[in-house]
Amino acid sequence: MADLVTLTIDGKGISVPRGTTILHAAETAGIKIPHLCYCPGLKGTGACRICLVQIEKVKGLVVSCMRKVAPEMVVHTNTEEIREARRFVVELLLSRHSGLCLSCEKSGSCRLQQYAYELGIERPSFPVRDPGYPVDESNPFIVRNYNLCILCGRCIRVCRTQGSDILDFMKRGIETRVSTALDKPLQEAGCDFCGSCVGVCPTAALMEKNRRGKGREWEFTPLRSYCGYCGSACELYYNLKKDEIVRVTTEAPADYLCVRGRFGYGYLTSGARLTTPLVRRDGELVPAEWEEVLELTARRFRELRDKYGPRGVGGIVGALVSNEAAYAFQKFIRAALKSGNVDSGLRFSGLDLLRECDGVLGGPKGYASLEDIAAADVLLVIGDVWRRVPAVWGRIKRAADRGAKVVCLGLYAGRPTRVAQVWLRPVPGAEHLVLQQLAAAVLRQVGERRVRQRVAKFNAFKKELASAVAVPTGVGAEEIAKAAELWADRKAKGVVVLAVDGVTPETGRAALNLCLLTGRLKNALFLGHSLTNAQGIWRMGAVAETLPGLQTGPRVTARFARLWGATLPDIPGLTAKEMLAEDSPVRGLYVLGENPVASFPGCDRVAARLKKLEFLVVQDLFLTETAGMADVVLPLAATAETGGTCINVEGEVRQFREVLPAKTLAAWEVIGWLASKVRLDAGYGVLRQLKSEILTAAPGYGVKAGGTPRPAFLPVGDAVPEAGPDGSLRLVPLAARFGFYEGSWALHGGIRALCRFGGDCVGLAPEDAERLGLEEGTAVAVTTAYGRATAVVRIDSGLPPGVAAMPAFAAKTNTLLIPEAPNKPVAVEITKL
Amino acid sequence: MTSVAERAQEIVSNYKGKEGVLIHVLQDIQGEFGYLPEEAVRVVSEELGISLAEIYGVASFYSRFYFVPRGKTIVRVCRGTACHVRGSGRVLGKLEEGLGLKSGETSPDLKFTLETVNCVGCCALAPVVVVNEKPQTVLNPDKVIATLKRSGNGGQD
Ligand code: SF4
Ligand code: SF4
Ligand code: SF4
Ligand code: FES
Ligand code: FES
Repeated sequence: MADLVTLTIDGKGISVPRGTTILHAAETAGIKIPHLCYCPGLKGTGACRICLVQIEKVKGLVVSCMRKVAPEMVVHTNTEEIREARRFVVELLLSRHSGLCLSCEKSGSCRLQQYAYELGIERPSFPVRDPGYPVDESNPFIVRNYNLCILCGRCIRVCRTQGSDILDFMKRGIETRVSTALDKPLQEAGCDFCGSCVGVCPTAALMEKNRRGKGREWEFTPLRSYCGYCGSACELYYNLKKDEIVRVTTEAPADYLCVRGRFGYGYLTSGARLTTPLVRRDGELVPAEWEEVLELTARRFRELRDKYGPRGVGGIVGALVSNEAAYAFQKFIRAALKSGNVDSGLRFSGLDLLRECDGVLGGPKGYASLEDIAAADVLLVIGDVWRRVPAVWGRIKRAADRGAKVVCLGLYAGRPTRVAQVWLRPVPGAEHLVLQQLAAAVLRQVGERRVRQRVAKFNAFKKELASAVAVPTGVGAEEIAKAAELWADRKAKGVVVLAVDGVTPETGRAALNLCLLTGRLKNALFLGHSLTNAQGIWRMGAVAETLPGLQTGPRVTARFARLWGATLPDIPGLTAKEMLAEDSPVRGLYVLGENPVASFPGCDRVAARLKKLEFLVVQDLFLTETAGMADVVLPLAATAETGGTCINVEGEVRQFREVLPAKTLAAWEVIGWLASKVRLDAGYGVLRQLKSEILTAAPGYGVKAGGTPRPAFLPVGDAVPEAGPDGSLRLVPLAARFGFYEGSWALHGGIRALCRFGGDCVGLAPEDAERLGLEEGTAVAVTTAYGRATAVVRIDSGLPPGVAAMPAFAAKTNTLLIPEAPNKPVAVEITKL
Repeated sequence: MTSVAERAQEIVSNYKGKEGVLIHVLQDIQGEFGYLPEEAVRVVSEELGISLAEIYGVASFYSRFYFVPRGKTIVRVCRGTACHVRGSGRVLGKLEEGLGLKSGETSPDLKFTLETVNCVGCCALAPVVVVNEKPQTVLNPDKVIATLKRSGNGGQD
């Protein structure tokens, strides 16, 4: 290839692409050049000068992490002259390094120590000056000891690339050190606690607080698995010492994990985990034997089914459990209980939208991936997706650093709006209309003819656009025009980054239409979802309408009847919404890994409905609010204990590794046991068997390539946000940093510290707070047409006036929202208590 | 918006759209307030799209930027070699005592800031104290203290 450069390094001839640095080139030939300030995945700065090499016919030594290869170059990487120069670098560093390797946590994995050893430095030749900085332990996760810092700047660069950009060098000369603005503690400086800085630090200057005293790197076993918190399911390594997770690391030092992935593993070993079954006796939940509770459960389900028919029983499963658990669960409900009433909590968090998008994109192969975001030229970021799937942020930032244009749609002033060229900030509830107006403007630029040919239902689409054009949305025409110009550039790789569970269906459909409009059908829509296995749950058939593999119809049902050796109920059965309706026929319910009493919209009504059940079984990691109401509580083993798979937001099947000893039985073991008691023999109980059954039932876990030959525009509708009187407020749920994910995992995960007010806060713009005479921390009553809750005020300058934000997923928020449309803003009153 | 933020906004707007203006903006802000109020720096960060950390990094690189309010009268005691051998240590001690401030501190009423500097380049005058940019020989620190205190408004000339 013309683009290859051939050179010689230490006598080896190698060819590398033009533009490669000498350091990289050497690496490909297996020659390791020491480096401190350079970190794979980050831009080099050439600051530390330890990577010096010699190039023949070039005077002096050159910095190999910055110098690019040239044809016929002859490089030496390890001559005595080079070693002497490197020695000098290390000796200088040691002169302000007061650390004692003997007792240092990083001993054995510290680069400074390693290079001192490799260069044969026996004692420092300069007097060692102890900088005497106080060690900062004021936050829950990261210990900062800048006495051990070698000023390589990696932390600064990684924080700039994917963190909150809060670090830099302060002062100069001998006083230089890394710090935040005004030396504020991390938690006040706006740190995300992504821990990236810890990941890249070559010394012990930045360390995980939790690992202290737990041993040295060589005592740990790194096990590769995936984070189970959000839909991204990021790859990570649990570093174990015996059966304890000591720290979490990534494949490459600068790979991104958010605080939950990096530091939130505490839930796995939390003392609050359920480990034995509980049964209600005299009104109290008391521990009991498996045999006894499963016998009871099977009997009660049988009785209820006999008494009320198959529609009298049902099951609801959460989107955080594995594919295997979900598959076994739906099979149990359908084949053993012979009821069609099986559904997922996903019903309330974007199931319909997921399904619609999946249909148009022809399956996960057509979705955009995180890498598509990073590689995009134009991004349209919709809603609070970067808070729901934090991994998105690092990719948006990387794209923006590369020069990608970013358009944001949403009301919150946050990270993405800071890097955005255009920020469309509508009044709450007008998001879809802004997208329609944007589409109208784009259509004018790309011209009708081609679109009409490519995409069906064009006329209906155009009519809807016309009716949306004049509706006031709070966004100016110039802004729309600017955004349209960017999006209409069809040569630019464009990606819509959508918060599937955080927008209204109208907004989601309008976003999809924008992709169709510009012919961006493949890998142009990122379906961000807060829950790890949102994509797997419905593919496993744990939704009312479809059997595993998204299949429906009498022939499919007959096939599954044969596969499962059972007659099957009518499909669809009742949805979660219907099961929990006031007048539903359901009397006995099995809830797996879901907490409807807190996490479903209108959850107070859900609670009232559950109280009317004759029998409720809840299986979960913790004694959740819903479990607290149950007749029988079954412990659930975590995916990090049992293994299993999930399908992430990119449509990738991720295999969880068994890293910890199981605290209890795997979900499918329990379900298998239970099934045998309801007289259905089925091979659920063994993971291997179960997996092969799933692959028969739903080849490829239902992740199919497909593609619709001629896509059609989706109807968006013309719902117009109701404008309240002046000074009135709208309540919106926001997956805000102050609430992160307020599920029981986060609560027990050791990251509770970040949720300052738990799920109990209501965010207000400073202007509104002042007008209402409210201060930070004031206790208030929050009232909507749907409910009333108490909360404390949090003043948040990221919010526009007229909006009150409460953390998504928090029980209180869910009592206040419209049960049928949880992402729709609703009029709210806020009064001092 | 508070007046500090408003004023900062005005200052930044003079430079809007130009490159490499950070230092000038900070200088103007310091000229306005005598130091860099955090509130003003936040405005600069927002408006110029530069992170707070980077701004403080740049500002702390130059010793002429201040992050806390400073006294009306800045008293700087030279600690250079020439002054040292001619008794600047004693001078500093006396001034600290007389003004009730440690080196680097500002009086709560914002009248005085006491600092040390390295050689101010007029060693012939040693021991030197610089009061609001004016170097003077100090043979009798008590007299200096008395003068400083007398000129009630902080010895402005
Ligand atoms: S944890 Fe992340 S956000 Fe915080 S300082 Fe480190 S890199 Fe920056
Ligand atoms: S703290 Fe660590 S990563 Fe940051 S500059 Fe110092 S040594 Fe480098
Ligand atoms: S972004 Fe999501 S998957 Fe990745 S570490 Fe964070 S919570 Fe885990
Ligand atoms: S690694 Fe090349 S200069 Fe630091
Ligand atoms: S040493 Fe004080 S002025 Fe030179």
